[in-house]
This record gives sequence, C-alpha cells and structure tokens, in this order.
Amino acid sequence: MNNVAVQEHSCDICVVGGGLAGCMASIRAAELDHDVILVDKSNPERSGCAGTGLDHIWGYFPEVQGREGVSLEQMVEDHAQNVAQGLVNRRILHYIAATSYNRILDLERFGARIRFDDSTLPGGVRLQYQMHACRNTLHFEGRDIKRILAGAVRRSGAHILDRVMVTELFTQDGEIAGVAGYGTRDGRIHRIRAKAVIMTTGRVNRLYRPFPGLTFAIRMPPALTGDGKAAMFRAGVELINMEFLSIPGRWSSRNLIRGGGLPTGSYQPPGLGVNALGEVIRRRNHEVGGKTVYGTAKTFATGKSFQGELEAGRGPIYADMSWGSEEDQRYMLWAIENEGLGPGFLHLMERYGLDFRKHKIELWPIEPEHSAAAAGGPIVDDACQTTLPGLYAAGDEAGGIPGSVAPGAFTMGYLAAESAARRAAAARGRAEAKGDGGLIDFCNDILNRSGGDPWEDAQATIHNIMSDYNTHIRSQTMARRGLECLEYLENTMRLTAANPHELTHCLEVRNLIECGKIILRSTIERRESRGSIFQRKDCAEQDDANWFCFLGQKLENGQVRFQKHKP
Amino acid sequence: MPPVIDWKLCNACGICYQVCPQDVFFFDKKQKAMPVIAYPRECWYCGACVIDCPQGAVSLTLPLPLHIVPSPALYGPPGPDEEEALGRAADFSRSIEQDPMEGGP
Repeated sequence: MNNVAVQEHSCDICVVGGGLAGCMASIRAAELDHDVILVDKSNPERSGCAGTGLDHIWGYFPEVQGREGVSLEQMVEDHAQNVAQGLVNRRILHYIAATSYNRILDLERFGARIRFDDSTLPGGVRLQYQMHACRNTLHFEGRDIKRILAGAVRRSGAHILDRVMVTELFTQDGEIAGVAGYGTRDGRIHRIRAKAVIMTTGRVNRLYRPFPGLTFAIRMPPALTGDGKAAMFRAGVELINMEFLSIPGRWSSRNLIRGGGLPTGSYQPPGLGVNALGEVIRRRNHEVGGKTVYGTAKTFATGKSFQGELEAGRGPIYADMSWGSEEDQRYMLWAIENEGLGPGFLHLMERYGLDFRKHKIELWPIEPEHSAAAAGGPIVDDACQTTLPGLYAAGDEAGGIPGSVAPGAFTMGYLAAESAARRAAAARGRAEAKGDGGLIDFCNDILNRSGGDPWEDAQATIHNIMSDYNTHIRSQTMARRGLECLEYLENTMRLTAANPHELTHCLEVRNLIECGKIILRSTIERRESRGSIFQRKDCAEQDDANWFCFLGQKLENGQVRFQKHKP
Repeated sequence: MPPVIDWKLCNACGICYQVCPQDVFFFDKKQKAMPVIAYPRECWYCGACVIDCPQGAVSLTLPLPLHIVPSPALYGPPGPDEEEALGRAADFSRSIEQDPMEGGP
C-alpha cells in the first residue's frame, strides 16, 4: 500500500486562497495580532485572477464623484440595477463601494503606484469609466500587485503555506474547526486546525469547453476549480445563485487577453471594434462610457452589437487599435501591461511579429464563465460569515454580490479578517477536530490503482456535459440529463495518477463535478429566465413575483435542500 | 511548446518554478540543475515566468491553435476631426474639467 502521509498545522485564523482577497485578509488578521496561515494551491506571488496584473479597481472617490454630483448611494444603486440586475446583497455592496478607497490607500502603503503626474484629478489619480455610469475606476500600475501583496503578507507575520490545495473543511459541534488539503508537490495531506477560517478560492473556471480547444487556454486562471465552493457544500454550507452564468462569455483573442481593449476593457483609450467590412461597431470606450455592462447582447453606441454583426454575415469582429496618437498608443500599452495576462500577451505579440499599429486583432466570444457576472457562492451576512459559524468568505468566493470583482476582494477580505479576528479572540482554545472528509481515502484509492482513467479524460467529459446540457439550450429536462451524466461519470471513472501533480488534477476533477452538480440542480430549481445570466427554454419569462430571490442550496443529512432568500 | 528556457542565460535560481501558478516547471534545488518544462500543455500564457526571470531567460511559445493570424489594421494616422476626439480621449481619464460622456450619470 502506498498511503499518503499526514502533516498537522495549527493557527488562529486560516485563510484559504492567496489571491487579492486572501492576501488582504491575511495581512489584516496578522495586523490584529493573530496567528495566521495563508494556504495557496499555487503561490501568492503570482496566483489568482490578478496573477500577472490588475490595472483597475472601482470605488467611491468622494473628491471626484462628489464634485461631479454623484453620491455614494447613487453609485451603489447604479451597480445594483445595472450590473447586478437588482439581485445583490446591498449591505455588502455598500460596504465595498464605501471602503474600496481605503483599501486602495493600503495598496499604496504596501508599495503600489497609484498617482501620476499627468493627472489633474485630486490626489493625482487616474480614473475612468468601467461598468458604472460614473467615472470611478482607478487605473493604476498593478502588474506586480501580487508580488507586492505577497511581500506585505510576509512582513505582516502571516505564514504562507503554498502548493497546498484545500478540499475539505472539518467541524466540531456545528462550528468550523479547520481545513484539510493536499500538497500538490509534497504529496502529503495537510490538516490545519483553526479557530476561524476565511475562504477565498475564487471562481469555478474549468467547467465549459474552452473556445480555443485547449483545456488551459482560458481567460481566467485554470488553477481555479471551485475548490472552496465544493468543500463548503460538502460541509453543509449554503450556496446561492450557483445557476447563473455568463453566456456567451466575454470577447477575447484566443483567450490570450482579458479583452484587448474591447469590448469592456478596463482601460482608456482602447481601440475600435470593427466588422469584416471595416465598419465601426463599437466606438472607443469613452463614447459609450458607463453604459457598458456585462454581456454581449448590449448594443453599442452605434446601435450594433458584435454578435449581431456575426449573425448578419459581416464577421469576424476585430479590435483595431491602430487609430490613435503616439500618446494613446503608449497609454494603451501601459494599460495592457498592467492588467492580468497582459504581460504574456505583449510578449507573445512581439515574439510573433504582431503590432497594434499594423495589425487588427480578431475577437471571438469565449466559452461561458461561471461566477463572473454571477457571483454564485456561499450566502454571507454583514460580517462576511457563511452559514457555518466561524467560516467566512470573501471576494469571488462569496455569493450574491455580482461585479464586486477586485474591490470586492480587497474590502471583503479585510472585513472577513476583522470578523474572524473577533471570533478567534473570543474562542478559548483550538478545537481538537478529527476527520478529513474522505480526502485521505480518495487519494489512497487513486495512488494504489494500477491502470484506469487519466484525469484529462474526466476533464473532457465534464467540459462536454456542462457545455452540452447547460449553455444555450437550458431546460429542466436538459439539466436533469446533465446531472445524470455527471453522476454517471462520478460513479464510473477510476482515476489514476502517477504523481502529486496528477493527483491534484484528480482532486480538481472531483470538485468540478461537485460544482457542476450544484449548478445543474439550481438550474432545475430556478423556474424562470432572468436577463442574460439565466435563460431557460421551458420557462422563458422573468418571474419577479415568485423568483426575485437568492436561490440557496445546501446538504443536510445527506439530502439536498433548497431555500429562497430575499436579496 | 511553452515556456522555453534559454539555457545559455538560465542561472538555475528556480524563480520560474516558484511563481508559476500552473506548476508547469520541475526544479530540484539540491541538484543545482536548470528547471525542466514538465507540463508544457498546462501553460496559461500569463507571463509570470517571463517577467520574473532575473536573467530574461524565459520566453513563451504558442501552440498552433492559439496563433493569432495577422490581419492588417484599417486606420492610419487620424484625420483632423479624429485628432480632436483623440486629444479628448487622452485627457479625460486624468482630468476633472472635461466630461466626454454622452448622457452622463
């Protein structure tokens, strides 16, 4: 028998996931004099959505928006109506909007550059329109934001446990007692006892067939496989709104960039969106300004849409960035270099002889994305606490705050740390919890199996099931069939792994199946259609009277239970 | 296949192995050998290894499905009216005086 070894750890507060939210949570919890372990499946230096950059953070800048006649309350309302389609946790949304600027000042304190000589705004900040109807998005030098944050985590005294994938939570007397994870390099099981746990593992990214045909060529990090959401569900935590989806996803070029300036690039000035005849379909960002929201069905200032042009036989669509002054070009390149994936994209452009002044860049709608516009995840209270006492969630992990994105990560991470710190201070001792949620058995089964199914085959099957049964043609019968197929896969696959790297992928497959099942069950249960984020062929109408709700789902004594919550 | 290490420049510091979010490298500190690209097909093309390598020894290579086929751009130097619009575009995100929004909040 080839059994995994177990290594024990103990701390006051365990933060799971080292992205923007997890780093901010760790720093704040350590500042409050708590013994903190930050566990990351990769390494906080470059992990998460902002791994190689983040150039934008929305927030309320009183000296700017105030002078322009926009109040904090108006901005929150704009977000609630136009970004979140009315289905949002307004108290957390208000907290994000109100405190984002304070967290931006923290980033500056940690070493990020946010002020520029060419700005005439108060404080020398560069602000622009992104997804709101007012200019409220800080444009800053964020290429190395993760390295800056990881440095601040280390200086804070928090301990970083990297290359450990947390997949299980354990509880004692109905409260959180710790987490268990698998060392992706050392091949050990790590059990971490804690008085409070903050989950920040982000989105579920590998559910749908990727547009370029390669599993890892997706827009957002392929390392994010819903590990936190799956672990929480297994532990009985209530998840909400898991059925919502961005269909189609954003537009990108081979998924190598987050938008290439189009159509909802976070930076100004971007290029033009043109069809194959050279007609301008989308003008420069500033000309449509805050009217851009998630989704592609929205017509642009020209009255046309990218999708409409494809369907009218005038595709493909291109981003043309040649139209601009030298200053524009410099600003655009600076912006791309500072936003996630941008450094890699610019490197590849140069290597393959592509130049924005000479070449337009072809754009396509990418595969559907979960959690981006949707914010499916655990329901949280005003302290970011989930339904499991002592367990908190922040950033993209948390449910019910669509479009919270980077400021959501920073502010909720901070808030969750303050809440967890209060709880840890009140707790008498660390629990002596046992258990691992079946993780050890799952790993040992795979390690001791000779022959079997490689994880790649299970991943491809998940892509097929989710893409076939849960994208453009959704209905109760399709979702039921999808669920049958996922359950068949789960019961039939005999995964095999030659080393910890492959076993990590097997654990990811397990979590993707868990998340897929949750999504399909919620799809069956939400009997209506709601804007661009949820369309059912058999319930085509929006039904506010019966369904204007957060749809909750949780495991209780082995049974799945649904519950509706007023937002 | 991505990424590619220039063996002439690599000093076997292992930073690429440390930072890679996809864990595509293999590196053994004790052996002082250069990193190996163990899982080339799991690259995300994020560029972390490229920008963090102190020796500039790492570059990315695209598999065929990810190539962007070149297509000539349409717009050359802007004309007079466009020039004015561009001037405003360059200014607006850094100035409080101008608001080029149609409609506004």
